[in-house]
Amino acid sequence: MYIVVTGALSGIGKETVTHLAENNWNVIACVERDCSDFKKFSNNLSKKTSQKIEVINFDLGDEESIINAAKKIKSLKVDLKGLVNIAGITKDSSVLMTSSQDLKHVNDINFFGPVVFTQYFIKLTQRSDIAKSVVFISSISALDGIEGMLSYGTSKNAIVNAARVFSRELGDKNYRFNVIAPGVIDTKMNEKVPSDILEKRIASTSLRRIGSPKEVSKVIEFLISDYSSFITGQTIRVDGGIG
Amino acid sequence: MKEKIREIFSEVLEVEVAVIVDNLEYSAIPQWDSVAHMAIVAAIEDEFDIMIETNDIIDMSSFEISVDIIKKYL
Repeated sequence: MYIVVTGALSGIGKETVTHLAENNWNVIACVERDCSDFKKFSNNLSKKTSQKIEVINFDLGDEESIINAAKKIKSLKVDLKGLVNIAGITKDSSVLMTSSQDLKHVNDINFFGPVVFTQYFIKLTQRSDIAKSVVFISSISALDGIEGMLSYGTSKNAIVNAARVFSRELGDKNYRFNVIAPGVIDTKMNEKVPSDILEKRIASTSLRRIGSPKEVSKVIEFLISDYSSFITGQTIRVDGGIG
Repeated sequence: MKEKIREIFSEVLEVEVAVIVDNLEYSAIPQWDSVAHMAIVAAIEDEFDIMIETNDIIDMSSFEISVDIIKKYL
Protein backbone atom coordinates (compact mmCIF):
# COMPACT_ATOMS: atom_id res chain seq x y z
CA MET A 1 0.00 0.00 0.00
CA TYR A 2 1.05 3.57 -0.68
CA ILE A 3 1.13 6.73 1.35
CA VAL A 4 1.08 10.08 -0.43
CA VAL A 5 3.39 12.66 1.16
CA THR A 6 3.52 16.31 0.13
CA GLY A 7 6.42 18.59 0.96
CA ALA A 8 8.77 15.64 0.52
CA LEU A 9 11.79 17.65 -0.60
CA SER A 10 13.16 18.53 2.82
CA GLY A 11 12.62 18.71 6.56
CA ILE A 12 9.73 16.80 8.06
CA GLY A 13 8.51 15.74 4.60
CA LYS A 14 11.77 14.13 3.54
CA GLU A 15 12.20 12.45 6.90
CA THR A 16 8.63 11.15 6.68
CA VAL A 17 9.29 9.61 3.26
CA THR A 18 12.40 7.95 4.70
CA HIS A 19 10.67 6.74 7.85
CA LEU A 20 7.65 5.36 6.00
CA ALA A 21 9.82 3.49 3.49
CA GLU A 22 11.96 2.09 6.32
CA ASN A 23 8.74 0.83 7.89
CA ASN A 24 7.54 -1.04 4.84
CA TRP A 25 5.29 1.54 3.23
CA ASN A 26 5.45 2.44 -0.44
CA VAL A 27 5.42 6.19 -0.94
CA ILE A 28 4.22 8.70 -3.50
CA ALA A 29 6.53 11.62 -2.74
CA CYS A 30 5.26 14.99 -3.91
CA VAL A 31 7.62 17.90 -4.47
CA GLU A 32 6.97 21.20 -6.18
CA ARG A 33 9.73 21.07 -8.76
CA ASP A 34 11.65 18.42 -10.63
CA CYS A 35 14.88 17.93 -8.73
CA SER A 36 17.64 15.50 -9.68
CA ASP A 37 19.00 15.37 -6.11
CA PHE A 38 15.62 14.31 -4.82
CA LYS A 39 15.23 11.70 -7.55
CA LYS A 40 18.63 10.31 -6.58
CA PHE A 41 17.61 10.29 -2.92
CA SER A 42 14.34 8.47 -3.67
CA ASN A 43 16.04 5.89 -5.92
CA ASN A 44 18.64 5.16 -3.23
CA LEU A 45 15.95 4.94 -0.54
CA SER A 46 13.91 2.59 -2.68
CA LYS A 47 16.92 0.30 -3.23
CA LYS A 48 17.84 0.38 0.47
CA THR A 49 14.32 -0.41 1.74
CA SER A 50 12.91 -2.41 -1.20
CA GLN A 51 9.91 -0.12 -1.12
CA LYS A 52 8.55 1.71 -4.16
CA ILE A 53 8.93 5.47 -4.17
CA GLU A 54 7.09 7.36 -6.91
CA VAL A 55 7.91 11.05 -7.31
CA ILE A 56 5.27 13.51 -8.48
CA ASN A 57 5.73 17.25 -9.05
CA PHE A 58 2.94 19.72 -8.43
CA ASP A 59 2.28 23.19 -7.07
CA LEU A 60 -0.14 23.42 -4.15
CA GLY A 61 -0.92 27.00 -5.11
CA ASP A 62 -2.27 26.03 -8.52
CA GLU A 63 -5.53 24.07 -8.65
CA GLU A 64 -4.86 22.80 -12.16
CA SER A 65 -1.52 21.46 -10.98
CA ILE A 66 -3.28 19.71 -8.08
CA ILE A 67 -5.77 18.13 -10.48
CA ASN A 68 -2.94 16.90 -12.73
CA ALA A 69 -1.21 15.41 -9.70
CA ALA A 70 -4.42 13.58 -8.77
CA LYS A 71 -4.65 12.26 -12.34
CA LYS A 72 -1.05 11.00 -12.18
CA ILE A 73 -1.76 9.26 -8.88
CA LYS A 74 -4.90 7.71 -10.37
CA SER A 75 -2.89 6.44 -13.35
CA LEU A 76 -0.52 4.55 -11.02
CA LYS A 77 -3.44 2.25 -10.14
CA VAL A 78 -2.11 1.48 -6.66
CA ASP A 79 -3.80 0.95 -3.31
CA LEU A 80 -3.72 4.17 -1.32
CA LYS A 81 -3.70 3.97 2.47
CA GLY A 82 -3.07 7.55 3.42
CA LEU A 83 -2.14 11.12 2.70
CA VAL A 84 0.24 13.28 4.70
CA ASN A 85 -0.11 17.01 3.98
CA ILE A 86 3.25 18.42 5.00
CA ALA A 87 4.08 21.04 2.34
CA GLY A 88 3.84 24.56 3.61
CA ILE A 89 5.46 27.99 3.65
CA THR A 90 5.86 30.76 6.14
CA LYS A 91 6.21 34.53 5.81
CA ASP A 92 6.76 35.95 9.24
CA SER A 93 6.04 39.61 9.93
CA SER A 94 4.28 41.67 12.55
CA VAL A 95 0.52 42.02 12.18
CA LEU A 96 0.75 45.58 10.89
CA MET A 97 3.45 44.66 8.38
CA THR A 98 1.66 41.66 6.91
CA SER A 99 0.39 42.40 3.43
CA SER A 100 -2.88 41.03 2.15
CA GLN A 101 -0.91 39.34 -0.66
CA ASP A 102 1.21 37.48 1.87
CA LEU A 103 -1.85 36.52 3.90
CA LYS A 104 -3.49 35.16 0.78
CA HIS A 105 -0.42 33.39 -0.58
CA VAL A 106 0.42 31.64 2.67
CA ASN A 107 -3.21 30.55 3.07
CA ASP A 108 -3.27 29.33 -0.54
CA ILE A 109 -0.32 27.00 0.05
CA ASN A 110 -0.96 26.02 3.66
CA PHE A 111 -4.75 25.75 3.72
CA PHE A 112 -6.58 25.89 0.38
CA GLY A 113 -4.09 23.70 -1.47
CA PRO A 114 -4.00 20.89 1.12
CA VAL A 115 -7.79 20.95 1.49
CA VAL A 116 -8.32 20.74 -2.27
CA PHE A 117 -5.71 17.99 -2.60
CA THR A 118 -7.40 16.09 0.22
CA GLN A 119 -10.72 16.38 -1.60
CA TYR A 120 -9.13 14.73 -4.64
CA PHE A 121 -7.48 12.07 -2.48
CA ILE A 122 -10.92 11.21 -1.12
CA LYS A 123 -12.34 11.07 -4.65
CA LEU A 124 -9.59 8.67 -5.66
CA THR A 125 -10.07 6.37 -2.68
CA GLN A 126 -13.76 6.43 -1.81
CA ARG A 127 -14.48 3.10 -3.50
CA SER A 128 -11.64 1.31 -1.72
CA ASP A 129 -12.28 -0.88 1.34
CA ILE A 130 -8.95 0.12 2.85
CA ALA A 131 -9.21 2.12 6.08
CA LYS A 132 -7.78 5.47 4.98
CA SER A 133 -6.00 8.01 7.12
CA VAL A 134 -5.12 11.62 6.38
CA VAL A 135 -2.65 13.59 8.47
CA PHE A 136 -2.24 17.35 8.25
CA ILE A 137 0.80 19.13 9.60
CA SER A 138 -0.25 22.24 11.46
CA SER A 139 1.86 24.05 14.07
CA ILE A 140 1.80 25.16 17.68
CA SER A 141 1.46 28.66 16.23
CA ALA A 142 -2.05 27.63 15.15
CA LEU A 143 -3.00 26.95 18.74
CA ASP A 144 -0.89 29.41 20.73
CA GLY A 145 -0.86 32.57 18.60
CA ILE A 146 2.83 33.40 18.23
CA GLU A 147 4.06 36.94 17.59
CA GLY A 148 5.11 37.52 14.01
CA MET A 149 3.18 34.53 12.68
CA LEU A 150 -0.16 35.93 11.56
CA SER A 151 -0.24 34.38 8.09
CA TYR A 152 1.31 31.08 9.07
CA GLY A 153 -0.63 30.70 12.32
CA THR A 154 -4.02 31.47 10.79
CA SER A 155 -3.45 29.13 7.85
CA LYS A 156 -2.41 26.33 10.19
CA ASN A 157 -5.36 27.02 12.48
CA ALA A 158 -7.72 26.73 9.52
CA ILE A 159 -6.26 23.28 8.86
CA VAL A 160 -7.13 22.19 12.41
CA ASN A 161 -10.78 23.06 11.83
CA ALA A 162 -10.82 21.53 8.35
CA ALA A 163 -9.51 18.23 9.68
CA ARG A 164 -12.20 18.20 12.34
CA VAL A 165 -14.95 18.83 9.78
CA PHE A 166 -13.58 16.17 7.40
CA SER A 167 -13.48 13.72 10.30
CA ARG A 168 -17.10 14.41 11.27
CA GLU A 169 -18.43 14.03 7.72
CA LEU A 170 -16.42 11.05 6.59
CA GLY A 171 -15.82 9.05 9.76
CA ASP A 172 -18.39 6.44 8.78
CA LYS A 173 -16.92 6.21 5.25
CA ASN A 174 -13.70 4.59 6.49
CA TYR A 175 -11.64 7.78 6.73
CA ARG A 176 -9.76 9.29 9.65
CA PHE A 177 -8.32 12.80 9.73
CA ASN A 178 -5.83 14.04 12.31
CA VAL A 179 -3.48 16.93 12.77
CA ILE A 180 0.01 17.19 14.17
CA ALA A 181 1.11 20.51 15.65
CA PRO A 182 4.91 20.44 15.79
CA GLY A 183 6.78 22.81 18.07
CA VAL A 184 10.34 23.90 17.42
CA ILE A 185 11.73 21.30 15.03
CA ASP A 186 15.20 21.28 13.53
CA THR A 187 14.34 22.21 9.94
CA LYS A 188 15.11 25.00 7.44
CA MET A 189 11.93 26.79 8.53
CA ASN A 190 13.85 28.05 11.58
CA GLU A 191 16.68 29.54 9.53
CA LYS A 192 15.15 33.02 9.51
CA VAL A 193 14.18 33.01 13.19
CA PRO A 194 16.64 35.16 15.19
CA SER A 195 18.84 32.88 17.29
CA ASP A 196 17.89 34.53 20.61
CA ILE A 197 14.20 33.95 19.95
CA LEU A 198 14.87 30.36 18.89
CA GLU A 199 16.90 29.71 22.03
CA LYS A 200 14.15 31.20 24.17
CA ARG A 201 11.55 28.93 22.57
CA ILE A 202 13.71 25.85 23.03
CA ALA A 203 14.41 26.80 26.64
CA SER A 204 10.65 27.00 27.28
CA THR A 205 10.14 23.33 26.41
CA SER A 206 9.93 20.76 29.19
CA LEU A 207 12.50 18.67 27.36
CA ARG A 208 14.83 21.70 26.94
CA ARG A 209 15.81 20.79 23.41
CA ILE A 210 14.79 21.17 19.79
CA GLY A 211 12.75 18.39 18.21
CA SER A 212 13.88 16.36 15.21
CA PRO A 213 11.95 15.70 11.99
CA LYS A 214 12.34 12.01 12.78
CA GLU A 215 10.38 12.44 15.99
CA VAL A 216 7.52 14.05 14.08
CA SER A 217 7.63 11.37 11.36
CA LYS A 218 7.12 8.64 13.94
CA VAL A 219 3.89 10.26 15.11
CA ILE A 220 2.83 10.65 11.48
CA GLU A 221 3.36 6.95 10.90
CA PHE A 222 1.38 6.11 14.04
CA LEU A 223 -1.56 8.25 12.86
CA ILE A 224 -1.44 6.84 9.34
CA SER A 225 -1.33 3.25 10.57
CA ASP A 226 -4.15 1.22 12.08
CA TYR A 227 -2.46 1.51 15.48
CA SER A 228 -4.43 4.75 15.75
CA SER A 229 -7.65 3.27 14.40
CA PHE A 230 -9.87 4.92 17.04
CA ILE A 231 -8.24 8.34 16.77
CA THR A 232 -9.79 10.90 14.48
CA GLY A 233 -10.47 14.63 14.45
CA GLN A 234 -7.61 15.21 16.88
CA THR A 235 -4.72 17.66 17.00
CA ILE A 236 -1.63 16.23 18.61
CA ARG A 237 1.11 18.54 19.77
CA VAL A 238 4.64 17.27 19.18
CA ASP A 239 6.43 20.12 20.92
CA GLY A 240 8.60 18.82 23.75
CA GLY A 241 6.11 20.24 26.26
CA ILE A 242 6.55 23.87 25.20
CA GLY A 243 5.02 26.28 27.67
CA MET B 1 -23.33 7.99 -23.87
CA LYS B 2 -26.30 9.62 -22.19
CA GLU B 3 -28.00 6.27 -21.67
CA LYS B 4 -24.80 4.80 -20.27
CA ILE B 5 -24.67 7.64 -17.76
CA ARG B 6 -28.34 7.05 -16.95
CA GLU B 7 -27.52 3.38 -16.26
CA ILE B 8 -24.71 4.43 -13.94
CA PHE B 9 -27.01 6.77 -12.02
CA SER B 10 -29.59 3.98 -11.74
CA GLU B 11 -27.02 1.47 -10.52
CA VAL B 12 -25.38 3.72 -7.96
CA LEU B 13 -28.64 5.12 -6.62
CA GLU B 14 -30.22 1.66 -6.69
CA VAL B 15 -33.35 2.83 -8.47
CA GLU B 16 -35.01 1.80 -11.72
CA VAL B 17 -33.65 3.46 -14.86
CA ALA B 18 -37.09 5.00 -15.39
CA VAL B 19 -36.59 7.07 -12.24
CA ILE B 20 -33.56 8.80 -13.76
CA VAL B 21 -35.46 11.30 -15.87
CA ASP B 22 -33.56 14.06 -17.67
CA ASN B 23 -34.67 16.77 -15.25
CA LEU B 24 -34.05 14.72 -12.10
CA GLU B 25 -32.31 17.05 -9.67
CA TYR B 26 -29.76 16.39 -6.96
CA SER B 27 -31.59 15.71 -3.64
CA ALA B 28 -34.96 15.39 -5.42
CA ILE B 29 -34.97 11.74 -4.36
CA PRO B 30 -33.58 10.63 -0.97
CA GLN B 31 -31.13 8.24 -2.64
CA TRP B 32 -29.30 11.09 -4.39
CA ASP B 33 -27.54 12.66 -1.41
CA SER B 34 -24.01 14.03 -1.18
CA VAL B 35 -22.49 10.63 -0.50
CA ALA B 36 -24.28 9.06 -3.46
CA HIS B 37 -23.28 12.06 -5.56
CA MET B 38 -19.61 11.28 -4.98
CA ALA B 39 -20.25 7.61 -5.72
CA ILE B 40 -21.90 8.55 -9.02
CA VAL B 41 -18.91 10.73 -9.90
CA ALA B 42 -16.50 7.92 -9.03
CA ALA B 43 -18.44 5.44 -11.17
CA ILE B 44 -18.52 7.84 -14.11
CA GLU B 45 -14.82 8.58 -13.76
CA ASP B 46 -14.02 4.86 -13.78
CA GLU B 47 -16.32 4.13 -16.70
CA PHE B 48 -14.95 6.89 -18.94
CA ASP B 49 -11.44 7.09 -17.46
CA ILE B 50 -11.74 10.79 -16.68
CA MET B 51 -11.25 12.96 -13.63
CA ILE B 52 -13.97 15.51 -12.99
CA GLU B 53 -12.87 18.71 -11.26
CA THR B 54 -14.39 19.62 -7.91
CA ASN B 55 -16.13 22.73 -9.22
CA ASP B 56 -17.81 20.67 -11.95
CA ILE B 57 -18.85 18.03 -9.42
CA ILE B 58 -20.55 20.76 -7.43
CA ASP B 59 -22.27 22.03 -10.60
CA MET B 60 -23.74 18.60 -11.44
CA SER B 61 -27.12 19.64 -10.00
CA SER B 62 -29.32 17.51 -12.25
CA PHE B 63 -29.00 14.47 -14.49
CA GLU B 64 -29.17 16.58 -17.66
CA ILE B 65 -26.58 19.08 -16.43
CA SER B 66 -24.35 16.19 -15.34
CA VAL B 67 -24.43 14.77 -18.86
CA ASP B 68 -23.45 18.16 -20.31
CA ILE B 69 -20.60 18.50 -17.87
CA ILE B 70 -19.32 14.98 -18.51
CA LYS B 71 -19.32 15.63 -22.28
CA LYS B 72 -16.63 18.29 -21.70
CA TYR B 73 -14.24 15.59 -20.53
CA LEU B 74 -14.73 13.17 -23.43
